[in-house]
Amino acid sequence: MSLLRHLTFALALLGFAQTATAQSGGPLRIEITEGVIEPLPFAAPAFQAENSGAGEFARTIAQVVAADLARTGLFREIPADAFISTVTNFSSPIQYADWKAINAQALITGAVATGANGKLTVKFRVFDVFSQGQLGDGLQFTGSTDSWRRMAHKVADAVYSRITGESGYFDSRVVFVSETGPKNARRKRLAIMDYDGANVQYLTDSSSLVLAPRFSPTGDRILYTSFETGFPRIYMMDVASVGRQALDDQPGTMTFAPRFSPDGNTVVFSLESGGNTDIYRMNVNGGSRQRLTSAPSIETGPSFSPDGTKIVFSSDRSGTPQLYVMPATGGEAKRISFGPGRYNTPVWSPRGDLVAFTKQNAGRFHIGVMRSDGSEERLLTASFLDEGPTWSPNGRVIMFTRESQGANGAPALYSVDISGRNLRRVTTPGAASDPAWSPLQK
Amino acid sequence: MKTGLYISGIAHTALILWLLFGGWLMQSDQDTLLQVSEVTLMSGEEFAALTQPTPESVAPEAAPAAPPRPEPPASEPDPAPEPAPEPAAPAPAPLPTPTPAPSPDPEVAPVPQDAPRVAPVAAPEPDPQAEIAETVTQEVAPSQQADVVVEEAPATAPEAATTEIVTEAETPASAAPLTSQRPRARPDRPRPATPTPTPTPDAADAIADAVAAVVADQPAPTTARAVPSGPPLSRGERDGLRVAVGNCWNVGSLSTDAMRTTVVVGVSMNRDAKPDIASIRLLSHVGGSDAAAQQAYETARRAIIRCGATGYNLPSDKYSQWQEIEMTFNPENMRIK
Repeated sequence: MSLLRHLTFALALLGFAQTATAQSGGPLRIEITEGVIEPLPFAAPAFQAENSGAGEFARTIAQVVAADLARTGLFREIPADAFISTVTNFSSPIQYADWKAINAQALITGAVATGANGKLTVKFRVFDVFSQGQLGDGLQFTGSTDSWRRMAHKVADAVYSRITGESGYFDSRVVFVSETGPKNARRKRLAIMDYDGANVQYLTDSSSLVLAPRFSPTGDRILYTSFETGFPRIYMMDVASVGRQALDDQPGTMTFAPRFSPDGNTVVFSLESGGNTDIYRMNVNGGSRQRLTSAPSIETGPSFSPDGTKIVFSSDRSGTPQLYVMPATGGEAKRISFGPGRYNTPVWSPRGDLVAFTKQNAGRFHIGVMRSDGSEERLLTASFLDEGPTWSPNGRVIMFTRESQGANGAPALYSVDISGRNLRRVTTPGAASDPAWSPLQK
Repeated sequence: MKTGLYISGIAHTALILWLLFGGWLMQSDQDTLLQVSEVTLMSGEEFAALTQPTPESVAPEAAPAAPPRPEPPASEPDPAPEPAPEPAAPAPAPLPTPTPAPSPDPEVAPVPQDAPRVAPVAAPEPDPQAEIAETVTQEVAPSQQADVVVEEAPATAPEAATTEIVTEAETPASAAPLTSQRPRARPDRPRPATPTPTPTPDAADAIADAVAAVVADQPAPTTARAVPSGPPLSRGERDGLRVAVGNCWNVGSLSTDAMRTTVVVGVSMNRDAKPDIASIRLLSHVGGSDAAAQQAYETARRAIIRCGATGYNLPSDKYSQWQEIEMTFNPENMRIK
């Protein structure tokens, strides 16, 4: 009875304590769970030219920065003719009221100067207009005048990172297969360009068919598949010198679908021998290959997880192509895709949380993502033919190939945000397919 | 010989004439009471159908006539005085005398309203002394100064009419009081002496642990601020603030990591319902990394400042209630899953 009495007293005391707290007059507490999702408006007036030779750079660099941000779909540029005040000096105080009046939530100011020996210096600041403060410290980049676009991309990356909290992807490149000629006699060659389609350079001629280029983690090498011997064969190319070498050149076999490991020392690929296709791995510096799968079905399209411990791949061992995950050293594979249709070309996100894939179902092709355990599958696109996804360096955007229907149909590169919004066509000189996104350049 | 023939002929002729016309000449008054009316022939089935009981579910063809309008009572009876309460023993301690709530004005007590008369042209309420007539006639009264004697005539006016019927539900006037006196705060109760229970050692430890655990969960009291007094914000006022801030909370440019982060932001408000920008601070966060929390906080801060630039719609008489606000920004519902 004594314990019961004490317990009753304790409960009463607890109730009194909670009531007293509730009535103690704390701050008003509200919870906001519904906001808006819309591009953040920003203003990027022309950068200040600090000497006579920097005028053109100051104008074009600001344009590239603004275009980079607007292309993400997360930001909206306020046109210059809406500006109330102008920035006449990089160090002059900001007239926040003027920028608030046009609803600019972020303001980017910068200055450019040219120096001796073709040096170019770019400095910038980012302001939160409504908070009336600077977002981070000002930054300055120095490079050659030839690399002014890279410097503009780096400024945009820094601005993007300060506003969104995640790294950017503007100072990156894309390698792809450039296609020319009629649909039944296409000529294909490797090309590389800035992520926004500028500075296109061709890495191979069109004498032989090439497929599926893939960047190394450092961006200085490319793996690709060539048919120059009549059979698919994997080659590794040095981007700077355009020199190349064949990997695992074993007669009587076909190798394809290569991809680097996260440390860049290992390559996983598919090898067809005797009518059976399995996944192998080998060191890029040579050595014997290691067989990772052993099944009578077709295993292909391997892709490492960012930590290098797992490999996701496609297999038709269940009857239709589905996605599986296995240890990077081989072993039991676990199926992660269970939806209707065919799943192919899986690619692990740089963040490690998602796997992008191509899905064919009911006569339509889709680019989709799912968690690495197979949950939360989402289809981002749908068209006559979408395939071959590749991740941006920050894991926020997916680029892929979309081919239009009909005799005159041609492939083109598209990008889409992982939210499924902001579907855009990437500018290329002609038809293009098989994109692979590089990491951020150093 | 012929005399008899003549007599017989005359007699027969007279008899025939009497038979033909004598009834009309001798017609009685009772014959005129007979009335002739038209009848309709009907079959036996029709008669049987007529004699069948009518189903109750059959709707009447015509709407029933409106019930007679109740006449307003001539005068409301005076309420009987309440009996004086008998003094109870022992007498309770005197409580603060409550100020009686304002009683509704007896002149605007609800009375049944006459249904308005609808006419193509609205007519004002006629003078109660005037007679209702189709034409308006000014009252004519004898004048002491007039030289011309005009015949006296009562004033007339058309019956009051309106162009549309306004129902009671649409009538804005109400007998309910528009204002009410705010209830007084409760008087401080005498604080009971702190109980000093002497439980058994084991039970005391368990109770102390439980109490400490609950108290530890409570937020630390905010120092150096006035304790809110008066009535709290209504649900509508709180929702209004929530929606106002949410309209400026743009998570479109947040990283996926920041979209998994819930931040609690504190802000002090000025009396003009504008946020004190310098007071906005991150109190706590749940979910993401510190960097993600910082981004989520910056977005929340921007929302508070943007939509508070012209002042939030908060009741100024409850300033003490919203002088300090803690806003929890939870993007869970807006996250891509």
